[in-house]
Amino acid sequence: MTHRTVRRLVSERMDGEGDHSMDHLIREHLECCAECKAYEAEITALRSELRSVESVEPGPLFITAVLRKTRIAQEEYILWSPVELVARRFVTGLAAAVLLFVSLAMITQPEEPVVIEPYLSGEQSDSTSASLLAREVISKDDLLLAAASRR
Amino acid sequence: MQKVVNHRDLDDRSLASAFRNGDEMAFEELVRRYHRQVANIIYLTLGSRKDVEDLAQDVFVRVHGSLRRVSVETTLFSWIYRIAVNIAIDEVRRRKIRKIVSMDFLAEPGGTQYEPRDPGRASDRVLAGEKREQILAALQRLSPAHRAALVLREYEDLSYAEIAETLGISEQAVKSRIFRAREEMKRLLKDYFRERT
Repeated sequence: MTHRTVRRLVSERMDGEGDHSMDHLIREHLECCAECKAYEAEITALRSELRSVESVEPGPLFITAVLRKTRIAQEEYILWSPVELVARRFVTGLAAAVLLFVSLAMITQPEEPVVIEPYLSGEQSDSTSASLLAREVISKDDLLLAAASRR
Repeated sequence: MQKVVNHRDLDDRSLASAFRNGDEMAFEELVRRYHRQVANIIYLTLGSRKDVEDLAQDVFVRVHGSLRRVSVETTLFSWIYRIAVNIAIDEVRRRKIRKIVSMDFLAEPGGTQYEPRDPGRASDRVLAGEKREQILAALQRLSPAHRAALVLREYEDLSYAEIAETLGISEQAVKSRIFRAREEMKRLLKDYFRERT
C-alpha cells in the first residue's frame, strides 16, 4: 500500500466510511510510518478545529420573513402565470407559423428547369463545362450524360 | 371534528405530502426544521455573514415554489441542501468573493444579524473570532466543489451517500473531494497549526 492510499483510507475511516477489511493493514502501516502517523494526527486536529467553528443562528424573524416572501412569490405567480402562459403560447405559435411559412416557401418555390438543349446542340452552356471541354478533361458525351441525369 | 395534526411529529415525506395538499403549516415546519442548516451551508460556503439570511430565505422560497410542482426523487433534506449549495455557489461566483473575502472580514464584526450560539467571555470571543476567520479564509480558497463536500461532511455531518445525493455526484467522487479538500486545508492552515503547537 502506498502512503497516499493509506492516507485516503485514514480520511475515510475518520468519517466512518469504507469497508473495514483493510483496517489491520492500515494499522500496521501507521505503526511503522511516522509520516502517515503524523498525517492522521494532523487530520484529526483539522477536523476538530473545523467542527469548532461556531455556527450561525438565523434571527428570530427568519421564519416570518420566509413566509412573507413565499406569499409574495405566490401572489406574483398567480398574477403572472396566466400572462406567462399566454406569452409562451404566443411565442410557440409564432415560431410554428414561421417554420410553416419557411417550409411552404421552400416546397412551393419553382425549381429552375435543367435546360439540356445547349448541351445537345453542342453549345457550351457555362464556364465550367467550357473549361472542362477546353482542357479535354471531359468529353461531350460525358457532359450530355451528366446533364441528362441531373434530375 | 377536524383532526389536529402536530407537524413536529411528522417526518419529511409526510410534511412534503401535506404541503402538496395545501397545508402551509407543513411548509412552516420544514423551514423551522432546516433553516439553521441552510443558513450554515450558505455561511460556510460564502465565508461571510453578509446576505446569509436573504439567501437562506431565497432557498425556502424556491423550495416553496418547486415542492408542489416537482417530485423529489431524493430525500427531502438533501434536495433542500442541494438548493442551498447551488444558491451559495452561484453567489460566490457572482461576486467573485475570493477576491474580496479579506475585506468582508474587515467589515464584518459589527452589525450582523446573527449571534454565536454560545458567545462566552470577551477574550474567548476574540480567540474564537480569530480562529473562525482563519478557518473560513482557508475554506474560501478551496474550489466550490471541494468546499461544498467538506462543509456538508464536517458541519452537517452527512454521510458520503447523503453528500453524493445532495451534490448529484458518485460516492467515489465524494471520497475524492473530501480527501483533497482536507489535504488543501491542511496545507493552507499549516501556519495556524504551527502557532498552536
